[in-house]
Amino acid sequence: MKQIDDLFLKDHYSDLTPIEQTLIEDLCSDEVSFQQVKALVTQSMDVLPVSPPAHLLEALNQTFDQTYSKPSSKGMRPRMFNLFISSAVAASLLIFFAIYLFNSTSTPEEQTARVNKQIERKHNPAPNKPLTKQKMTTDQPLVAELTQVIHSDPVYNDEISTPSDEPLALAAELQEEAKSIEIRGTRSDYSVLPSEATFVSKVPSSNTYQWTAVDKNIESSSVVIANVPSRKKSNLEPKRLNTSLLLKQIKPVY
Amino acid sequence: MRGLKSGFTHFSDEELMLAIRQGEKSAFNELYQRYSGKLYGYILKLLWYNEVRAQDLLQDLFTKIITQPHLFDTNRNFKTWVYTIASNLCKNEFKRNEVRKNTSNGLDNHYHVSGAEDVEQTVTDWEFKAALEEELMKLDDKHREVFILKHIDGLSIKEISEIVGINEGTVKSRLFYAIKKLATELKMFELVER
Repeated sequence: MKQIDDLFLKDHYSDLTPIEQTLIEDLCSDEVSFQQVKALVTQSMDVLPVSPPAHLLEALNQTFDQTYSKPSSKGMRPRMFNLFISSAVAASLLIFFAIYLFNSTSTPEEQTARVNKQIERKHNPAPNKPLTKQKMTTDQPLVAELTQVIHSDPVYNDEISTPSDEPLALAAELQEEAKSIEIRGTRSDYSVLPSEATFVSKVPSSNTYQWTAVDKNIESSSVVIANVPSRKKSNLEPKRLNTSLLLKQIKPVY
Repeated sequence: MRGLKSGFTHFSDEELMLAIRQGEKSAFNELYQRYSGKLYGYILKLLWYNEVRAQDLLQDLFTKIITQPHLFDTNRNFKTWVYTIASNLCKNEFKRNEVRKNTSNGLDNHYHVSGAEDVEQTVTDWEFKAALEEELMKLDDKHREVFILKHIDGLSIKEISEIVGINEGTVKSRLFYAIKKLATELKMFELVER
């Protein structure tokens, strides 16, 4: 749609087409009214031009000076702040990098050895080793290994009420143990041994109990079957002992 | 900076705004020279020639340009943006105070209002313009605003629609009404072809 303003750019009302005349019919219908509206539209651009007072520009210039002089002094703070942050980040990164390098300075041989150990652990996982066993093995003297035979022992009664009864109970279990050993044939002459021949003696020097049995093939009258660390008497609290573990640690002395 | 003053005359309005962001005072002065008169006249007419308030609003407008130049999107037309601000400032002023009630029809003493005795005389430019000013003040706000923007400030229909926030059809109809009203009122003047 052609703008009405454009129609008034024409010199005379007669220059308008009939369609254009109908468009501005409400505004003007003859040459005189056309000229009146034309004057209104064209001359209103120059209507009483005004200019703001000069003091307004001065005030605005002051505002401008105040606004753009501050950022130069304020601008240092963010810059310094950014510098501080960036230096802190760089320092922390450097520290982490140094730690990483320090940890990874092992030679290739060491690294391969470490990897091999890990692989070996994966392929040959250690049997269930309770911490108590490790602790106990350190306390007792190593005399001989009988673990292979004892390993397939039947389940023992773990119910031992008091520490004071422990040696006796262990002795009783050892009698049965001797029988099981005989069955396996490691020591065939054990069958000769009477159950009463097995007894417990206290060895003060080693602070261990020694269970000995008479062995006919040996000149000495007794043989140390196993050494079990004795417990302190002060420890009177009833404890549940894992006798199967204890028995596994029994080592015969030849 | 003073040396650059002449250089800014060739800058577009949008480029001047970018320069203002960099703290170029000369760019601001150039922009002020371009728009202060038009905006002042626009605000003045909308506020029924309340000069004090018009100056206050103009100062607020240019202060906003100084302190918050980042608000202007350089992809936009500056003229539309600045007139939109002026229009909104005036609308807020309408809401805040009933300006019409507080002003004695707005016209300053130096404005010559054509009386009945002048009707018979040949209409001079000055008289015609003064009469137009008077008739403009009689228009309601919405018609006066679009007429000023179109025929006094020379903005396009599209720009006016953006500034006022109405569609282009409404702008045209309001313009048509304003012209018809003014033409009817100014018929008393023997407008001659100039």
